[in-house]
Amino acid sequence: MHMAEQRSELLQGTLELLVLRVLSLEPMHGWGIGERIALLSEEVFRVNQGSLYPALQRMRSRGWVRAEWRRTENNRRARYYSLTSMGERQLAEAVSEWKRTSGAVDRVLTAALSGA
Amino acid sequence: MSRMNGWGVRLRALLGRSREEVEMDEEMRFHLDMEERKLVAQGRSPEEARREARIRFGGVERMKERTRDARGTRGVEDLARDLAYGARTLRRSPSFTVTAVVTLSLGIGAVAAAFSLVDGVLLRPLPYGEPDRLVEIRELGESRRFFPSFPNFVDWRERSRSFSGMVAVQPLGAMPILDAGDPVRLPVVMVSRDFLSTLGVPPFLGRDMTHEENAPGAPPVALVSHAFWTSRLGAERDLDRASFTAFGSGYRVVGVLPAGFRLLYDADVYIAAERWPGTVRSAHAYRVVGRLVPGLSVEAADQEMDAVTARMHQEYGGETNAETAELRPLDDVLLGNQRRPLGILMAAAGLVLLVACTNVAGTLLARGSTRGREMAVRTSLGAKRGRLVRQLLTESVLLAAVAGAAGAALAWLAVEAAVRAGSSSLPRLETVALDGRVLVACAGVALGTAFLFGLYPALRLTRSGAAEALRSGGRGGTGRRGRAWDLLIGAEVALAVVLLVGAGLLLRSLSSIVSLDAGWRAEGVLQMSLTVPNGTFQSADEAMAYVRRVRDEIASTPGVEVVGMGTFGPLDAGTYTAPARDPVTGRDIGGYAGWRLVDGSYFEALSVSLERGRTFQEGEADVAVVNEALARRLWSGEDPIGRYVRSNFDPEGVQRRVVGVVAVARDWRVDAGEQMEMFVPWWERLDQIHAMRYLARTEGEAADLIGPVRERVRALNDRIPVEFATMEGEMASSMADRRFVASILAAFAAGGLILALVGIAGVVSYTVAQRRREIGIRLALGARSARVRSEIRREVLRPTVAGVAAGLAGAMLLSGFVEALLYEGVGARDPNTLVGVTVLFLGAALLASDLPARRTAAVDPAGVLREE
Repeated sequence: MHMAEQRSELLQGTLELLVLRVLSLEPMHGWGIGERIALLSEEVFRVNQGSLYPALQRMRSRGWVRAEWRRTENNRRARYYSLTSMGERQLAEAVSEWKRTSGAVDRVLTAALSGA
Repeated sequence: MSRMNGWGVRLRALLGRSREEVEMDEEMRFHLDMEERKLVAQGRSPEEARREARIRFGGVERMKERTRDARGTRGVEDLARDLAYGARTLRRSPSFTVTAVVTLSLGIGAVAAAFSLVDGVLLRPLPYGEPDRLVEIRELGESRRFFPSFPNFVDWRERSRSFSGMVAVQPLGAMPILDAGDPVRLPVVMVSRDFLSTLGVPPFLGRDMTHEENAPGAPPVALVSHAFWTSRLGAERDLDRASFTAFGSGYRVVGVLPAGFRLLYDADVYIAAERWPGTVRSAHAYRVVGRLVPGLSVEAADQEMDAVTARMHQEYGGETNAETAELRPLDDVLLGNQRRPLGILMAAAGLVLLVACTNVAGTLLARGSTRGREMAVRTSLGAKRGRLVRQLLTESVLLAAVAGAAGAALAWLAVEAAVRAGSSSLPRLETVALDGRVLVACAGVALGTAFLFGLYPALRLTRSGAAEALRSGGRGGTGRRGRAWDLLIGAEVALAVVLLVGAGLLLRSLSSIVSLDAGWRAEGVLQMSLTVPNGTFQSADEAMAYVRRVRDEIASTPGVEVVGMGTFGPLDAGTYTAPARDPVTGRDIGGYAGWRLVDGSYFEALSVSLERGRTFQEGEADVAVVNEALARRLWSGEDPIGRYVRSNFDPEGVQRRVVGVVAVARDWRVDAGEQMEMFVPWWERLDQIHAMRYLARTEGEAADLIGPVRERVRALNDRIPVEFATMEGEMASSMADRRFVASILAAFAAGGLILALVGIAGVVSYTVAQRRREIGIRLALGARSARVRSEIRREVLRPTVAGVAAGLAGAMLLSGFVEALLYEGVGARDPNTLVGVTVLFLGAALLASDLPARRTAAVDPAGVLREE
């Protein structure tokens, strides 16, 4: 695993997108979600817990995720989050929105580079 | 799993916090643990791992806040949490909580009680339909204000366009009512047409008198009060069977008025004024009330009535002295002169509340040193200042809420007692009660109070400098109290002093009225009032003989020293007055003189001293006795005996020879100032006599005479009602309203004084506790405990003295408000009162600070040193 030189700040909406994605793979507790995001992003994103838990709470309030207490493999109590059906729909929408915006940003950048 | 769950629930319950909080904490702990383990797995030592995990985690408090924010139910949860936390904090220091609650409840209770008085007497609308449209109308002429006469009233009613209805009312006083229960004297009032409809009051039973019934020559009918109907007519619902006898005729009752109804006068019987309409245009004997047409202002109506009256003055010339009219809203007439005293009461209650708040604020600050540390810790953990302030305020609100409930209970007790004690002293007092409006106001006051005493300490305790408290170890050090506290003490003292001065002035004024030499003495004098019903006697001679026999019977009652008679007693407001006339030319000399029908022993019965000459002899005619004021006015300096006086009440040309001069300057209202009086033998003017008052003087208690006298008089004729009153009792009720206000104000002032003294004592005792170290060291070094004690006291008394000075200054500034209530002998800056209050307060403060200061002796120097 290589450590990134810079840590990038995650926008709130983007963080939620990533969390939804991670949870779509499997239900997970808060710490695990952070680790998973770090892993999948190859250490570009190190999620700040100060942002993660409030974000999870927001998504709970909106009904995108649900939480329940379960036992880990080490038999410890932890709060596991999982996607609801509304959350799945939200994930799909957020992904297509992301593709749209990032595609547009790409085009602007490449157009500038080559149009000169 | 379920067992762990069970423990979790119990744990949560123990901690008393909400489930969400607990779960959040557990989640955080899990996260930290996992992070620790990861770091250990990467090669850190366990301690390093733990530290780094925490650092990486960041601000716990802030994150929790943000999570709570995200939850969106923040507001309610926060409130619930603050309340629970606040309740716990208060429970932990019961002595503070109890003291604060008691203090605040005194203040809030005072305000609630005063407000219910103000509300019941002043603010609640009068019990008529649309009462703000009712005005009283009076005649204005010759720079004087008069009650209108009946003919003028009729003209007004006919000619004015400004009123949808107008009624005239004349009180006849207590008249004998027969054949409805035992013979009794009851107040009777004459009323004109459309009485109830103009006032907008529906009858309780039956109807108003019709126009036919309220006209000359109509058969006698009457309306009666609710009390009369229940007690004397047996609550008879079939009014065809309700009747009574008065003025020699049988009266049929056609309507019953609602309970508690009154217009300007208390009355039990209302009869038709227009059966015998007054015909003299200058007889100022009626009260007129009109209902303005909708949309018309009082000013516009006043202007129109001025024009109407001016035209009447032209038409009727010398018959009427009314030139213009004066309109006054009815609520102002009835309640106007209660506004000032009740306003003062309200202000005084507010002052008591302020004293209480200052007291509690000071105590909160005192507790602040321990709370300060707690606040500093929480601030450093990331809690926002606003949150902490809000939490502290929640505590204050809790305190105030409990105090508000206690205060409402206190106020209820106070109001009950006041209503029972003083029902004659203020108008509508009997309807005062602690009702919904007052309770709502009470709650509002409690809330405001919480902010008043809680905000300042909350802000101070959460100041950024509070972190210092952490570092310095907060053991109290030298415990300099700081200016804030001196300010609070000074403010408390100043407020209490203002209250004391106000109460002191009123009490002095009251006592000077009571001890005023009115020229006559009420002690031991019994007043018996008697009215002969029409038709009892066949001739005037028979009536006179009866009246004299009654006097003889009373005179022969054991214990009676002297009996005097008169148509009016010394406290009666309804004496006749006529312009004082020059005896030679007959011209008015300005001012009005009272004209009283009395017998020769009247003066002796009231212990009025005879300055010159003698009193009447039985049967004498064309004589008069005058008082000094009149003698001075007519014949300043010269001997009045043998001179002649005239009066409007005597037929033209009649002159009376002065045979005596008495020293009665103040007659019916004790503080009404000098009044010119002329006394005339009653047997000369039988036409003017409706009732007779007998004044019997005894050496002992006047009340003891009532039984024996009543027996003897009723033995003569038991169909003639009589009434008894002691002159002392009458004197007391004539001052009842002043006494009422003064005693309530005195109670408030006492409350304020006690609270301020408690505050001072508290400060001293706290100072001693805070400066234990310093005191201990000084004592160990050989200082005398008395010196240390007096030094501490002096420190506390400094702001007290400043407070007294500020209070005196404030009292003098505000003196203008109280001035109107004071009797002329006592000025608003009365030096006696100011000095007295100062001495009283400083003395009490010295005492209050003495006891706690003695605790310096209890400081064990060795113990303190060992703590070092």
